Amino acid sequence: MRHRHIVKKRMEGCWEQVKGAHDAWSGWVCVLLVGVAAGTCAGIIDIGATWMSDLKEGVCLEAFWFNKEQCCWSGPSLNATSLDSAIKCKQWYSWGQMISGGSDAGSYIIGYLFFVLWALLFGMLAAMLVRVFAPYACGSGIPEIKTILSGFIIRGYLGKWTLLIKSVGMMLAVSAGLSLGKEGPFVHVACCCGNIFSYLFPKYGRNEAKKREILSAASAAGVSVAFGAPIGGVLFSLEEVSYYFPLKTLWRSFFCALIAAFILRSINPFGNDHLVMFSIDYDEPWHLQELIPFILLGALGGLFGKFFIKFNIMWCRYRKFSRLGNYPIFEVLAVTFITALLSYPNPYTRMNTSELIKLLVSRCGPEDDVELCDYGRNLNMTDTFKYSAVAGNDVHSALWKLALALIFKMVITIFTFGIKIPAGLFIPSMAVGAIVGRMMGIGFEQLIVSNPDSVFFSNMCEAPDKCIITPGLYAMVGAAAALGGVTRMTVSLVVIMFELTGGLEYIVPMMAAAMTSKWVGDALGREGIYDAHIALNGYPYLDSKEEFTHTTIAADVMRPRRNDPPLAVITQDSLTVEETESLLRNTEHNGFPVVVSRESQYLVGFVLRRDLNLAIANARKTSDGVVSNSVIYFTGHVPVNPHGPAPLKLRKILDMAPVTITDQTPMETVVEMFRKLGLRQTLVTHNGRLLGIITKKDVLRHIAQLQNQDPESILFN
Amino acid sequence: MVHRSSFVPATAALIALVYLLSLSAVCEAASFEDTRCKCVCDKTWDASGKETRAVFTNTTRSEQCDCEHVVKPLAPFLSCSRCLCRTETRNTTTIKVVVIFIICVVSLLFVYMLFLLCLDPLIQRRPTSYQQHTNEEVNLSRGVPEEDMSSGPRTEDAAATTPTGAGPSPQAMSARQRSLLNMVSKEQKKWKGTVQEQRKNIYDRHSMLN
Repeated sequence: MRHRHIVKKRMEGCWEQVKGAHDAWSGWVCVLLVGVAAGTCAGIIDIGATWMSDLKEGVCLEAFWFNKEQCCWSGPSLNATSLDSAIKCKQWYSWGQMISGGSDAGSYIIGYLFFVLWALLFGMLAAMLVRVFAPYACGSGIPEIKTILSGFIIRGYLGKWTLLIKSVGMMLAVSAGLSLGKEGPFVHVACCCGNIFSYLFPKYGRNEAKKREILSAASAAGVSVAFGAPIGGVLFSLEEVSYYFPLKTLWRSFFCALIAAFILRSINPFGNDHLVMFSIDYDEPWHLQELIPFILLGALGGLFGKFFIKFNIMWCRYRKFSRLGNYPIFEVLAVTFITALLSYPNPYTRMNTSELIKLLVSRCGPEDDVELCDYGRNLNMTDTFKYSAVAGNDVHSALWKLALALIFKMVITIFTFGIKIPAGLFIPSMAVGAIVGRMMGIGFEQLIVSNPDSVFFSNMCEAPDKCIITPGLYAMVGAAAALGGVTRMTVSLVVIMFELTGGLEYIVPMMAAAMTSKWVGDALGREGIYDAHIALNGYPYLDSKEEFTHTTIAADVMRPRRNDPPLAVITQDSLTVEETESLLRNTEHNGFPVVVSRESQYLVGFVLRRDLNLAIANARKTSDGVVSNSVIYFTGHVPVNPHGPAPLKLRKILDMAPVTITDQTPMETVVEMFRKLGLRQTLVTHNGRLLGIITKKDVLRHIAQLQNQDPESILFN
Repeated sequence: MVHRSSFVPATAALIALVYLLSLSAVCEAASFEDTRCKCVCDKTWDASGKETRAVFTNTTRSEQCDCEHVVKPLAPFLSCSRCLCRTETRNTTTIKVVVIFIICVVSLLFVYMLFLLCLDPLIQRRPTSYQQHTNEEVNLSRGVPEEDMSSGPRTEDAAATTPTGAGPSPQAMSARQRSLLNMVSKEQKKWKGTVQEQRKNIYDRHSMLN
């Protein structure tokens, strides 16, 4: 309608032509702005989160705004002539060091105390901010974004305050050391940017369907900045989030993701010239035999996914229906306290989860002095770090600690995902997978190093002491498998993983693992974590992945049923304002069909409750002569009646082209229409007369009934 | 970007702070450079049989970034063929500005939260009756598109002006100020209604985001 108006106007002169051009490119400008905003937010959050999480351990006294890595960035200064390998960074002061002076036991206890206190402070601040300013900022946001993109409107979910509080809350929650990530919420943050910027362009701001195109692009930008994976973001939007994804949206998403990644790259939040923390720098070959452990990792990932989804949903359901749900802030504090208390003693849980993943996926180089890299290497050999070696004692103790960390992470994440602060689960599930992967990698490496002459492994070694197995690669594959098991993504997951790590060499291992993980996961239970949460909350979401295979027709599903009162309709030229208002008061429908007259029931159009309410209230306030018994006209011409009260013309709020079907349309087609067009309701006609209405909730109820579930239990209020 | 536009007072405070800090940073900037040359060498043993360190960094920009200039002066016995040197850059100013900005935002939010939780109920004696949830989109579509974008700072201002505005005689205020104040408090009330509705959905009815 608007578009037609503009096209018509374009003929009329130069200025109008410019206006038309502005309208045409506004989509691109809008996604450009969204990309810039999403990139900026991500840069700020990345810098803030790393700084705050290091604040738990200590502070850079000379320049408090640096995190630990940045503080020690310059390294030991040039005139330090000592060649000792154990030179510590002098600018960074841990809390224990600062207060107790030097004694080891005292500084450990003080460090522990400060760690727990900072964690509690951050956790409480996050929970309080969410509660006071923007309750919608809690959780991951991806299930809700999926629901919104499928056509449901949640008012205020993508507002300014949600954006602000979600950004701040994410930083605080990650810094509190909780087992959660900031990658999922980035999608929500980017969508908030998309929603806010779409109001600058009337073409998008006033049309929910057009706005969804922008939101699709924004969610691509969200993943793009979260993982530094622009193409992965576009595919994520296509595979996981979006409902309806035409090529036009694909290109805009691509552009939006590109811009966001570019902005983030120029902010350079990690100071390593990469978009993300964990980029790898090796490209050693992998061998065919290694596919067996990779597939095994995939299967484990699928199992973990199922296990995680099952228990997380159980816990969330318990929270929803029991008294626990009445103490959200207390719950956050309790989880934070337990997490901080248990994670400090183990170095692998004490460190930030992203850093842990980085450590696990990277290869041991000469600069690494960590336990995990204690191999008995032959330092006289050239390229000694390229080849595998026999593990030292420290690696064994590291394996024990990793095993403990694995159990801890697996259990605590179940209780963490779903508490009332911003929380995503990409990073925790990747961490679980990476730990399993690294452990398996080390095991496999040692197996080969100890049997280099075996027939099975002979092609993996150039010489008895030159075998190449990279445990970091296993960690990467494990991370992909676990994430795939939880979210059930495949294509986008693999692309995200290789963009994330830069390991182009390793696409096939990751594909194998992701596919296995999806198969195993789907065999155990069909839905991914986001679908499970959508079902738990009962959002009106029509899953577009499943097929509808029943033979019912529209007449079986439509309302009103045989014994129901007749459909609430509005006639086009006989209802008064008062009658309409009482209709609005007595019913709860979101929209009303408009018919020619009650007797004929010929359909004219559809009017939304919100528009009707606003229009009547506006007319009462502003235009003269509109009183309770003025007649409302939805027709083009209004008969002149000098005696009666002034008429109220509402033609412009009437949707003259509602989607209609006939009563004999098979439900398969109807469901397909709801999915493809993102409809919220469709009108059912018979011989051109209005017969009834089918809403999305009717369809969902019908599907639930056909699957022998209780339809009322799963539905959104 | 979005943050910045929604916090005018924060930005002002931020600029002042950054200025002060940049003054103080001049004297100690030496140890926190923007570029470094990092060389990683294979470990080996020095004359006394101790393992050498593997990482050598140099932040003085005048020299070239290679093993000859960075490693050799310190460890002449190391073979340069086993070293890998790389220039890395970061932007300390960005980090400083962003971190200070975050501190400002968090403390502003914290103060405003304290105000809403403690002082606000005292000032408004009568219990606020929350009107039925009005959505922000409605307002926008009726023709105040850009203005609504900045309702963040305005509600923020309300927090600062309401307590002081109640003190002096109302006649002193010009009509313009009063209407502005009215508008601000109306905005704030509307926003509170929205938040209340969200809170009801999430914390009481548990119908969303479980």
